[in-house]
Amino acid sequence: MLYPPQINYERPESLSEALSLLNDHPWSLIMAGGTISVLSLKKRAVNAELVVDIGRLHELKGIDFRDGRYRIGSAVKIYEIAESGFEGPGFSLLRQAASSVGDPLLRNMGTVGGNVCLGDPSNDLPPALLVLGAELNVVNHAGARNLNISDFYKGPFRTSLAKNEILDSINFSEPGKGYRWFYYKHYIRHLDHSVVNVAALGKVIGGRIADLRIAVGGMSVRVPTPIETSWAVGKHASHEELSRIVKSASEKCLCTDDRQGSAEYKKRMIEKITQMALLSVMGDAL
Amino acid sequence: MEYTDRLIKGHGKYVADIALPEMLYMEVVRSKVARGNIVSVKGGISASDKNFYLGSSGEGYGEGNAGVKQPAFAEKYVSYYGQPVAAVYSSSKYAAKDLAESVEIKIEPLEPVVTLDQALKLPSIHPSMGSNRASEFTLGSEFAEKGDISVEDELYLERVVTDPLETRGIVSLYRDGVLNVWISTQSVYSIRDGLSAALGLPRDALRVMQADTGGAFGSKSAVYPEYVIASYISMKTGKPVKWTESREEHLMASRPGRGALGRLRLSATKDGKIVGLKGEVVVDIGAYGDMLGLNSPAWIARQLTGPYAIPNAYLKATALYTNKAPLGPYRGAGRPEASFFMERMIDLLADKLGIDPAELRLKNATESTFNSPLGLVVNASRQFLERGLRETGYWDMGAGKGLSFFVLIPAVFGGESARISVKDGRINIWLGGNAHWQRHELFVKKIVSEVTGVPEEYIELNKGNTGELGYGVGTWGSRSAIAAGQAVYRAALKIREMAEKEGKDVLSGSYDYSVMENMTLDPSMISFLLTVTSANLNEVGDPVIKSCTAFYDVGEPLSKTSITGQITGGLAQAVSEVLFESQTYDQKGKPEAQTISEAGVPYAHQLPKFRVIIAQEGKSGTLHGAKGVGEAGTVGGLPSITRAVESITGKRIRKLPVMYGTQ
Amino acid sequence: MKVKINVNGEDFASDVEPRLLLVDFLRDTAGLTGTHVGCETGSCGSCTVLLDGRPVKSCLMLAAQADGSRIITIEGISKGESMNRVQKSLSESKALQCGFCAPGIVITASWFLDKNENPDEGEIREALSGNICRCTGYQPVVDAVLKASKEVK
Ligand SMILES: Cc1cc2nc3c(=O)[nH]c(=O)nc-3n(C[C@H](O)[C@H](O)[C@H](O)COP(=O)(O)OP(=O)(O)OC[C@H]3O[C@@H](n4cnc5c(N)ncnc54)[C@H](O)[C@@H]3O)c2cc1C
Ligand code: FES
Ligand code: FES
Repeated sequence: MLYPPQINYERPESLSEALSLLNDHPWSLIMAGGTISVLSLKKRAVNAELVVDIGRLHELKGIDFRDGRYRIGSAVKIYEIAESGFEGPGFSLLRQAASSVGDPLLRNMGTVGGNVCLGDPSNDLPPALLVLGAELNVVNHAGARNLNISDFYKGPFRTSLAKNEILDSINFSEPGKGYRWFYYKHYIRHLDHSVVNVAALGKVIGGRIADLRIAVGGMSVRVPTPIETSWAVGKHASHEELSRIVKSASEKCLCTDDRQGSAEYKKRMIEKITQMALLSVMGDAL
Repeated sequence: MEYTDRLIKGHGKYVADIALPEMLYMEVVRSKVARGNIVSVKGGISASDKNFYLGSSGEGYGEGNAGVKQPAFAEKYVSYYGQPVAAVYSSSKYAAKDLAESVEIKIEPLEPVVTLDQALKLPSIHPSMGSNRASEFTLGSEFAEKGDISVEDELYLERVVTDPLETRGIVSLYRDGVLNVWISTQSVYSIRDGLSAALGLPRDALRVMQADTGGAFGSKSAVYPEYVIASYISMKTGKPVKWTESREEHLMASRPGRGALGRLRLSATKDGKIVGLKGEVVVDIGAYGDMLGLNSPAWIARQLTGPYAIPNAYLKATALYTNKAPLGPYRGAGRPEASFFMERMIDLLADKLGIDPAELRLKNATESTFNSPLGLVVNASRQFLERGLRETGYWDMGAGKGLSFFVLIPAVFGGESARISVKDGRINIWLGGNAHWQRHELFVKKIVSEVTGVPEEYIELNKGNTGELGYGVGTWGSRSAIAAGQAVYRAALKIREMAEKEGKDVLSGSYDYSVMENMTLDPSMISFLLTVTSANLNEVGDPVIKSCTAFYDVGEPLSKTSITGQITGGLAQAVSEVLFESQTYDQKGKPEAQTISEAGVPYAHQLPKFRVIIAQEGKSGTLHGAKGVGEAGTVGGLPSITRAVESITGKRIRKLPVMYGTQ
Repeated sequence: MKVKINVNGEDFASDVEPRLLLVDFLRDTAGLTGTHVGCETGSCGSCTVLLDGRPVKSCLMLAAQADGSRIITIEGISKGESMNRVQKSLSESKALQCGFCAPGIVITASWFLDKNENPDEGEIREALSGNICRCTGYQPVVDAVLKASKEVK
């Protein structure tokens, strides 16, 4: 059976206490909801001198909306996003991504921070947060830094977080009126890694693309990846522009034949779902 | 009280729930390579301390054991990823796991035999064997092909792990010369006899008791190395020893099913009458071969003509050793392989001839009792097919439909036992075939109540226990309704007779009667299965199963609830074997699915609504007239669902599960 | 470390290893074996319990994380010999086979019905998408939950 190894466990009362623990114990494992950290302990895949449970820190809680901007604490549970009533297109996109995470029970357990920091290419929130241009507020015992989520992912399961850093919150502006959004996750085996996830946000004014952002995740791309679309902005939302974007998305495919399907299939899925995304956010303009 | 109320309230007693004073917890340390020579083992108990050898037990057991016997601990070399090499124990389960982590095993890896091609080309995985051919048979006789047209193809079914929701588990307690065993199993008798042979204990020194058993689907019939090792540790320490399998272990080292290849050729006249079947069946039986493995290719081949009157057939059947966990039965155990192979060929022929697949089947269905050239005897099937096509609405279905028509041959070999005891105004029953739980109690109570006139609330079906009923076979091969049903019927008749003799009402007396009912297969026990499936494409173009209808011949229906549940459960497993489920191995022979989700076990939102039409087509020649049903869903479902997917995607399917993008 | 967890209305205070899984706390420390272990990796829902009112998979949590929480297990979802509407419906329709999945499915489905008045079959299937039943093909279980949704609480 799978049981965790002997561990030391601390549940600090405050964020600053958590940060000094991390600083004093460089080989710590941060645990938020624990869905993945407990699993990796059980599989004895991590060697941690200390487990720091940040799941209850009040500083990391809450979804706030102020001056058109959201602040989502990293310890907010996935279900809180899925059940929250905010209505703008940006938040709706995030809610759809959150509702796609695992199953209802896992959504009751997992946190937003865990989802973002794990760096799992098939996680649902990263592509959504990429198109929302989310800023990550990261703290350590000495201070804080802000970075854009597009600078966060360095490879599969690799992020730019230092060992002593905690993700404090995720911040993004609600893009507001006229925007349309899209989120779709494609998997073959439920609760296994997804093949491809696509998030998109866009706005068309007078038939021209005013804004367009797309990001792709899933095992077929290995790292949550934004698709370059800036060249399309200002152009007519034509089928020709659309197919160029679909092509650049499919170039991100690091596809091989495996249990998820053939390489050709994965490429086809990226193209198909990117196309669905574009049709959806470009709306009647096409 | 309803039988499952206890389970619904959380009061089940599964192996993991058994608590005994001084319990020791065992963990097994396993090979992390598929093949290699053992250089050293530091820590724990291993082959150098003591070893045992496993004979045939469980489903498909029989006389002798022609293959290489599996040692409880790998000895000198390892033959599959996950093979037990050492074991540790402790009074705390967490500490046992820590101990397991501390055992150091050094293995010098060797190039493994992973594929069937490698098995044929490379030297044997066992130094004691000349080649990897574990068994070879021919069936039927060579004939000159006639007919106007022929089709041929190569078909393959990946390995599938059974994945019952409760994994395997055992508690062994050796005390006062008796080995007491509580186990999650399909047959306390297989476990008793298998342990007795491996440990060299007389049978009456073992008492095997079935714990609540959380599903099995084939994997809980045979004796495994872990059972022998846990029992040995109890004999050494005199303390109870518990072992529960982790899901990871289940996926790498329990006995998966399928892994079967068919290379077949059909010849036919141009109006669609099939005149010949030729080819071969090859089965990957993994690293060790018991009777089930060795016989499986011939068993698959024997059934191939199914409900069709095919006058000539000649088949080769070969079992090959590979460096994988030994093959076991998975729901259907050879039957779905046969139906998949044959029905795929018939669909291919229909497409080539441009005939509707249903028409082609009608043309070839048996019209009277038919002795197949492969040794199968089946009754007339055509009328059943005609009726089924009408009642399922097949003719009116639109695009994306699939159909299959095949036979279900129950494993009645060995018969079955039953004991009925009447005491203190209650009836207690034990069966040789241990439910786990297919809801046997539903039909058993019904039979006993009908025969004895005692209301069902006074009747209880107990779990398997070698102490209460000393002989029996087991629950597998769609045999329970027929074999166990017959045995319990016979015992009930006897009890009634005993009461009548005394001029008493059954419940007011005190009676005890056990019977071993022998059985041989006759064509009336074979049922026909017509399965009709409809598939469409989802928004990304992947196939989705919309509906699946079973029109199955169950003989005299003993319990509609139990029959329907068995069929929907089987159909669900068929859908997922087509679309999601498998265990695959990488080039080094390492199992690739490590969690139950990775293995592809399906969830509620991924499955269609199933419709079950209980078609009563005659009765079996048993006392109660019932036929088998446990495996009907996988046997009937697999080819029908495959065809529906093929119709909607337009791509020929040769292999399951479908490889997305190539199907 | 010391933890205090309220299980089915009763406080269990215990000195445990920090690595102890919540599911083992419930099964071994509190002696409530109705919560099962099926997959150990968060896939099957056999270990489902209500944690502060919401269902979670107790194989993916440490007991330490649940310190101070209120837990309801299958043994506490309905009082004594009685059954809630989901349990009754599963029982009456004889929906289950081996029953190993029952505790998790009862907990998830009961929670879901408490929040959703008139679910359709699709919604029930989605709600159960974290709970595996290997025996039934789900059809009888989904039908029973649908039937339960029509009963008053
Ligand atoms: C069976 C199963 C299915 C799943 N399916 C999905 C799915 O469909 N989609 C999906 O997106 N995810 C899925 N997940 C992954 C996971 O459950 C979620 O991503 C969840 O949101 C992770 O959050 P957590 O709080 O449980 O993470 P934890 O396990 O607590 O942490 C995950 C990682 O992030 C680090 N971390 C957590 N919080 C912080 C922080 N604030 N600052 C710095 N580092 C931090 C931890 O050290 C750890 O390395 C699945 C997991 C399982 C077990
Ligand atoms: S045992 Fe916890 S989800 Fe399977
Ligand atoms: S009834 Fe066996 S797992 Fe559900």
